[in-house]
Amino acid sequence: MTDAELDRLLDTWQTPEPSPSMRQSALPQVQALRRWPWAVAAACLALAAVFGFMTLNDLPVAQFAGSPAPGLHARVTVFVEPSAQTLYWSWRTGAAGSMGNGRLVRFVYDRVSKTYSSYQLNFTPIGPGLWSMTADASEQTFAKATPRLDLSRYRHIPARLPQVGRVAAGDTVEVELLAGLAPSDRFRETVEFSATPLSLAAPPDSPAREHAEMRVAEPRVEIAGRIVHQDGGIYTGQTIQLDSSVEGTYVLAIDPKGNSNFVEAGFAEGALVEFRAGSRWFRIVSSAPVAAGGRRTVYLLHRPSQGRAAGLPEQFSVSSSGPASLF
Amino acid sequence: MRGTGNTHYGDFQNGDLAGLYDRHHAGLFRFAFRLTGNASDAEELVQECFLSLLKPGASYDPEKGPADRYLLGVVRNLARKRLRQRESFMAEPPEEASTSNPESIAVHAQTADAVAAAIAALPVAQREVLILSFYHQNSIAEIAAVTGIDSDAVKSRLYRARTTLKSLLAHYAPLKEASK
Repeated sequence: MTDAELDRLLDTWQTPEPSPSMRQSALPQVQALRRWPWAVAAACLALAAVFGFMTLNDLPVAQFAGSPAPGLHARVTVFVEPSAQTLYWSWRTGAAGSMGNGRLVRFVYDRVSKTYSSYQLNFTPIGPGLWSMTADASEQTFAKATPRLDLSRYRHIPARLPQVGRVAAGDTVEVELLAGLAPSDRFRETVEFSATPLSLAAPPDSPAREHAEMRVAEPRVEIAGRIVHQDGGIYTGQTIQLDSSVEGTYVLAIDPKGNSNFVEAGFAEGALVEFRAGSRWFRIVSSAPVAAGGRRTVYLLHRPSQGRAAGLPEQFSVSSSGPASLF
Repeated sequence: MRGTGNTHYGDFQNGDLAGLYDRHHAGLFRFAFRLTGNASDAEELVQECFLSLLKPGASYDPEKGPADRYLLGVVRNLARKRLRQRESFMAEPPEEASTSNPESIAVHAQTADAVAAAIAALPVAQREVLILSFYHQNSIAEIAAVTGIDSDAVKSRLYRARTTLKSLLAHYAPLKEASK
């Protein structure tokens, strides 16, 4: 190929124009900062939030609420410290959990270092409004909750568990996960207990973030009307992942971020996501609106499973992750 | 970003922030888009670029060149930082085909897509030099100033980038000729 031929090829790649809203959103912010330079750091954090996760002080990465035992409600809130590292760890990690039958099970895994932490809290009523609590950080808790991940490829990092023997409404315990994985970063969860259902933090008000973000609360997953998965988690991110133990991972986005591996597959409207993957029509029912802006197109990237669990029933789990451009 | 005039940082210092933004944001956006392959990332990088001008430690010496070159350098550094984060995250992609494989690139139906993929497959050091040279018509000396490397290294990276692209896009040259 000659230089001229290469130049003609390179000329075919045109860029889009910056959106008109870019100037509208950028200039007031920059000009305001010019008057108040101290706010630069906060503004940079706000920009980072465009990626889909909260980065301001004391805002959680994710929340998860439900009832681990009759009469006892819990809210799990995940934090990263320092908060400036929230975005980074949000990209690297995945998490899920379940509550019910006297148990609260949680796990967090790191895709890069192939490590995970998990724990299980067990509750037994010992009096009115009082439960004994035992904690288990064994590897088995992870295996129960993640049917698709190949545990042999992951190293277990024991969670640092609370030393609390009994809990009541109003108590909070703290768990540290992935301890020691990074020298200065800390991944921790708080578990708050209540006698009544606990609400979840509202997402921050950011137009850019809202535009790309999906939020699935207490999802119920159906295939052709049949319920195949249900949990009490809240999953917030620019992509929502539905893991199948048989078919692999379905990554959903309402803003594919220019990633051509994502294909149009369905829609999100109100508290509902529907999409087609192969011959199957999926429906995810959320207890809260999934996306801002009315009916939105949903784009899908299907990553097939490398090792199919032959003969075992298909199991699903839901998680959230960073922007579609990362896939 | 040629053709936008020799805007100097003094414009900004004198308060013409909107003017500076209007003159340069489109060019910076195109540069960022070609580096990252993503419009949202590009918009965010441009915004971060202008925000960074207000940081207490930000410094610019007008004697060293026009503002557009300085701004390109800021976007380039921000993009590199973001790409490093992404590469760290993708350090072990288990199921994705490598975009550096010419065969995987060749499956793209559109020539422009193939060009974008081929450029994305270049090492970032070569990619930024190629983009500054071809798409922004910067001279070797200007690229050296933006990237902070010497002219010989710019020439070397540019040569390697173009050689790699010729190889990756070899399938498309006959198609281009045939369509004449």
